[in-house]
Amino acid sequence: MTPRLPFGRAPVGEEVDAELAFHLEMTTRQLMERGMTRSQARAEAERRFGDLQSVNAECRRYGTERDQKARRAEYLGELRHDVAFAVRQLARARGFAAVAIITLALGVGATAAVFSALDAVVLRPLPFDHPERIVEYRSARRGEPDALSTPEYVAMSRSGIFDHFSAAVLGGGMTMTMGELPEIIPAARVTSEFFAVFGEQPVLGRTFSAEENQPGGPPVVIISHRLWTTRFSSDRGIVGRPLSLEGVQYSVIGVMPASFNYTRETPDMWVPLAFTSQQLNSYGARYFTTYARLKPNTSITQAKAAASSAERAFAEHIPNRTWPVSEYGASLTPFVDQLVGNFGRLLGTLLGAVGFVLLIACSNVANLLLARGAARAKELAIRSALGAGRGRIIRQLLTESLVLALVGAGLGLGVAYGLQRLILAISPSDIPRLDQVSIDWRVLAFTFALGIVSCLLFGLVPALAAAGPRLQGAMREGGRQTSVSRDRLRGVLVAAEVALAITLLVGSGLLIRSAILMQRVNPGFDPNGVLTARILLPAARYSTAEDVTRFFTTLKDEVARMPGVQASALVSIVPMTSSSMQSSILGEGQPLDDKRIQANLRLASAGFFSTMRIPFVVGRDLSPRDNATSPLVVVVNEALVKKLWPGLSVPEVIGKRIDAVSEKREVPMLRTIVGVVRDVHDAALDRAPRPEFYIPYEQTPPALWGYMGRSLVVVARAANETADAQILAKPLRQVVARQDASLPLADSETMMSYLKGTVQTARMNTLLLSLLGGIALVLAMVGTYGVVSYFVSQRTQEIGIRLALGATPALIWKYVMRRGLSPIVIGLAVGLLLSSLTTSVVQAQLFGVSGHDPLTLGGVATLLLVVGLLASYVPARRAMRVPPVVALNEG
Amino acid sequence: MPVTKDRLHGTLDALVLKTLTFGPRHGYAIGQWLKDQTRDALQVEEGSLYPALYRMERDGWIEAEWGTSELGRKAKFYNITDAGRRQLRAQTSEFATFIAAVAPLLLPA
Repeated sequence: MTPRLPFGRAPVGEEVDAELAFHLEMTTRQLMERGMTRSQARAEAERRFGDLQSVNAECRRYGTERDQKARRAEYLGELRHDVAFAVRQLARARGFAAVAIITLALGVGATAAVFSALDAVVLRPLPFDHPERIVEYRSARRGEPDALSTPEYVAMSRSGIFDHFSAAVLGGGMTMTMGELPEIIPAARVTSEFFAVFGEQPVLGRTFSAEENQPGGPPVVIISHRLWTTRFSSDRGIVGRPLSLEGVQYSVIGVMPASFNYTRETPDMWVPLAFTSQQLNSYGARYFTTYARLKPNTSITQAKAAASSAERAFAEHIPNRTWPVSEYGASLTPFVDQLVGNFGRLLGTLLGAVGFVLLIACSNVANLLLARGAARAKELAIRSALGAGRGRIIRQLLTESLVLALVGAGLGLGVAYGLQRLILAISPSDIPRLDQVSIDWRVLAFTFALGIVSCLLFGLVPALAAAGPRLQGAMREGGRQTSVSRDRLRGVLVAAEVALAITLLVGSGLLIRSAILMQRVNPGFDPNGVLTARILLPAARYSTAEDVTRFFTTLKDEVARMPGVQASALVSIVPMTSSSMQSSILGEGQPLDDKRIQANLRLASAGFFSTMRIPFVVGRDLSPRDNATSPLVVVVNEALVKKLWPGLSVPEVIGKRIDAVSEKREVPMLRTIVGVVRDVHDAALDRAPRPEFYIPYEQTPPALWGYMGRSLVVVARAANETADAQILAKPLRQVVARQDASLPLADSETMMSYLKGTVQTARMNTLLLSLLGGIALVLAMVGTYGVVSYFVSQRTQEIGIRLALGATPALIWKYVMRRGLSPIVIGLAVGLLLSSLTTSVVQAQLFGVSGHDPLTLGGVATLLLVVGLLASYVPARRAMRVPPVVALNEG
Repeated sequence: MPVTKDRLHGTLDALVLKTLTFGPRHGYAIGQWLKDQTRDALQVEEGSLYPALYRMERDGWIEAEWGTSELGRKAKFYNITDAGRRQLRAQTSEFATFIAAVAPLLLPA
């Protein structure tokens, strides 16, 4: 039971004063009847009453609480009434409610799904202490970021600019032998400061000591929480236990917390990175990544300025400096940006696109509500005449919108969940943290906030229009209000929808065209039926270059004899993987300056080109006779020839020599070109082929084996090219095991899946944008249909009169169609203008088409016109068939 | 067993509610009735009645309305609500339980 407000809105103070005064007056009168004088009686009454002031104050306090409670109750009561009324109204107009709710669910759900992905990947902070202070540090030469040399790293870590400074060699793996099968565990080599940069402590044990970071230090390893739980059943006694890695007994010294597995790709093991005195004096080799922790209250700009001058001070001491000191500098990237990379932009684009869909959905619902508001004009007029204020009516209508919005948002959660699964299924596996996407409270809050915001967006204008000052007029017109301004508003809304839909469709159309064009690109090799697998040899048992070469030569021959294999070879890195090895080369006789060009280096065996079906332009293949003792040879691609000798024709370069992979800069290692092959798309289909050269693996400089972890990739083409090449994985594993049972196969992948992997981001983008474009198209169609059919239903009488007065059905048809099509044509024009602005957003993802591709623009415009025609056609036909008598009787 | 403030509060509430079951009254009349019925046994200051009335009104046990008193003056009349009747029943039975528990101990058999 809730109290009612007893005295209208009289202030509590007056009420209490009056009541207490009445009491005192009554007592006084009673006492006067017993013979007291008035002043005596008054004094006695006050005495009997007690502390008047405190009673008054207490009453006021309770009274104020009572009034607040009453107001709240009144408001809630009205709200409950409004909601109940709204639900009844919506239940009566089931078709309208269903269309509005589904429209909203699509708009809100799609937005929430994309938001949840953006939140998981970009917005959610990394689970570290002050993650904004972690940066990836690189040096810069002429503004170009580059990895640090070892002496440079030492100089910078001693500069005192950062709280912590560390080097890490990432992306490697170590062979762990536990039980029967050896396996490769993703591992990183890091300096002792690495964990302090991230502000992380181990949950068990400790991190590396300074001694362990010295060359020849004890073999110790820190393992990840993931590895600890999955492979060691969270055994708390793990610290101090031995672990066999690469054939060496390592000792486990610590376990990092679960938060350190912040993405799927984080390593599961860390071992010390130590620098030998030779490395400490090598200014050329740059092979590790550097992370730094900014000092508190230092901005990245300040740190960059300080580091740049430290870099220039260091550059003074570089022997044989390539550039003047002033060209040296530093480059700092926030760790999170480096981690998220382009995916932040990509998801931002999607969020923009999905925002368009939501806007279309809102204007659609606004349109529906406008139509309803008009149809209910009579009801609203009656309520207004019965004393409901304008504010009260607007509140009632907004409540109805809110009910729609909340039900729509509720269903939208389901849509969001489905879309989230879809995004997960089609997204490239390398989007960091996307696997952590879920419907959590942030997404819930976002979804319902979106629902409420869209309710205001689509509900307010129709409510204001419906509760407008012309209510009395509506009553006279018998509920058939045909306000010109409202029709115009509806037209504007449809035009806006069409414009937004076009913008989206142009974007997705361009991406679809790009995808089709990309599919036609010849990668330069034939991926069908080719399996690849990497083999890494542990240094402990394969210490010399001869050991390594001998092993791989035997393996190559064994693989060639495998049943079901039609061709096989060895190579250092296969195309279409994200890794590559760059080397600078020089044509013989060209001066030793920065005219050196960067080219992709591959070590390969004889038969690599025929196995991959990379055609020769001229010359011969590498051969087993090109060995460590024979003259150095090289095969190059056409892009390299064009870059190095722009004036020469391809056959002319045979016999020329290039300086490549020389162990010392000053002593050139000249290799004779024996063949030229066609270009291969190395990084991705949409990137131009780069200059490349192939040297026989038998002629690898010994130091290079060390950098590459003594590894090569076996490529084998199955005899049955149409089958999944993975069928070769098991026999290949057996062949390797026969030779050395401790060796695992790493990255056992088919060429086909590498190829698919490179287009996966583009594919996801295309698919999602097409889906959103499709939704936009359907919503625009529903919107147009709604407007035209409303127009017809409002004008049944008028059309009847026109027909009775001799208008032909064809004329009526034209009259109605013009109504439907004019906002579409306007929307089309605006949309095409708008899309020329927005295509710049997808420009970077386009391939082979310009942002103003006439085919796409024309196609999209035609599509929308056809959709508009269809949406207007049905109601127009209905109008044509209006029997004049019925129409007139209805009036 | 000492008469705690709570129990005194509760007793005053119950008595006021009981008064109102006979029909609407203003504060002064309620006070008079209490004085007469308890033969002045309940020694409370007259003023302490009013905060109780406002509190019970806040809690929805009673409701008030301006009306005209016997003497032709405007006065605030209180009436008991359904919630108030429930409250009175609850307090009465609680009181009965209390009496049943202590009576055999304190009163001669």
